[in-house]
Amino acid sequence: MEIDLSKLIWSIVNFLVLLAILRKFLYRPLLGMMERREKDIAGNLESADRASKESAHLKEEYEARLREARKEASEIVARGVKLGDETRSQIMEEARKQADEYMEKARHTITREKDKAIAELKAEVAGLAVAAAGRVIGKNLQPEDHRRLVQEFLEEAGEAQ
Amino acid sequence: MLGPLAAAETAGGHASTALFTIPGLGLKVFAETTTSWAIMLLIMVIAFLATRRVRLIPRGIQNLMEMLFEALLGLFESAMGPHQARKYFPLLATFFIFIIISNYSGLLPGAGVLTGFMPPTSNWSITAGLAIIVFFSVHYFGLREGGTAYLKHFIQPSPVLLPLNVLEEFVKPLSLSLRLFGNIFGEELLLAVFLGMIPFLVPIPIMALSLLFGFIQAFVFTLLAAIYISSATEAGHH
Repeated sequence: MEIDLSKLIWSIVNFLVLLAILRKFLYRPLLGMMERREKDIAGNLESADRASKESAHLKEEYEARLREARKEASEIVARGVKLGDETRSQIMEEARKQADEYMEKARHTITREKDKAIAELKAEVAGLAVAAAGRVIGKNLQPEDHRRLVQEFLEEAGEAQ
Repeated sequence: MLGPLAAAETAGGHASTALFTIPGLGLKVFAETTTSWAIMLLIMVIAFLATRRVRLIPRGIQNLMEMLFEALLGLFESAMGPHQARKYFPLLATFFIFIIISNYSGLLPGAGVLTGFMPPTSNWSITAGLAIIVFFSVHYFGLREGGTAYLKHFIQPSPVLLPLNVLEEFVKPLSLSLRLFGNIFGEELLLAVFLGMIPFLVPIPIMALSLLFGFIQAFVFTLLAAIYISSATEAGHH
């Protein structure tokens, strides 16, 4: 067995030329692209992960805010209801007071009117009685008798009342 | 029948005569060389087609080529780790691609018969050239990565072993080149013999086996080169 020097040299030269060409035109572009793709995918995964974490965080925040808002709303409603209740009872109280006042005033007026009417009636009745009595007796009574009679009548009338 | 065998013993491959000589340099061009050029051209055309429009989402030949690259990267990573696999990928991948196409070229009709068509890896001179490139690469990378520390591994575990260690470094490329050439040449010869006896159906199993062996030989050569480089570059780091 022997080695042919020409073949050997050609073999080495050919291989080195092929290596140089493939290095520049095949390996560099393809490996570069594969690396870029790998990086892209890793980056995408990472950003997706980040986005999902962020969205989870936002969701939590929104939920917390929603809870707070709900709590606040129910507080406002409760406060409103309480205020309404208070206002109602206040209004009722006032109305009752006012009604009482009116009643009182009405009662006063009635009493006064009644008293006035009674007084007027008494005077009229007395006059009429005196006139009637005068007619029955046929003469005018003396002032003393007059006064006495009126007094008696009034007392009677008062009892009759 | 005895023709090719007798020639093999004297020429380290098929009997061949120079096709022509490059004037001035005195370099003779044989069929193995022209076939090498054809293989190089084929690889370059495939490379051109694969990288004509490199896309982020690979299609067609680019996709195929990337699958091959992924597989080779996985193989190299298992032998030398991800960092080195990437670093020495061009050299190792070129070995694999050139050797496997060269091995398979022997299965084409006309191989060894047509003028200027001889599978390069079936000749020891060609495989020796490849092994010499491995030899120099190993020591170049070893020195570059480890400096003088790399040289120390020749006297380890004891300086007494220096001759053996040096001898081993020369045996490595010798075995690399002989294994590759021997296997492919043997296959070629076997195929030629079978084709000579019964040229119909009978050679098909041999051809099927040649497909397997052609792959295995390219695989083994490349993997061993990766292991040699890996151990040389790591020797300097210890």
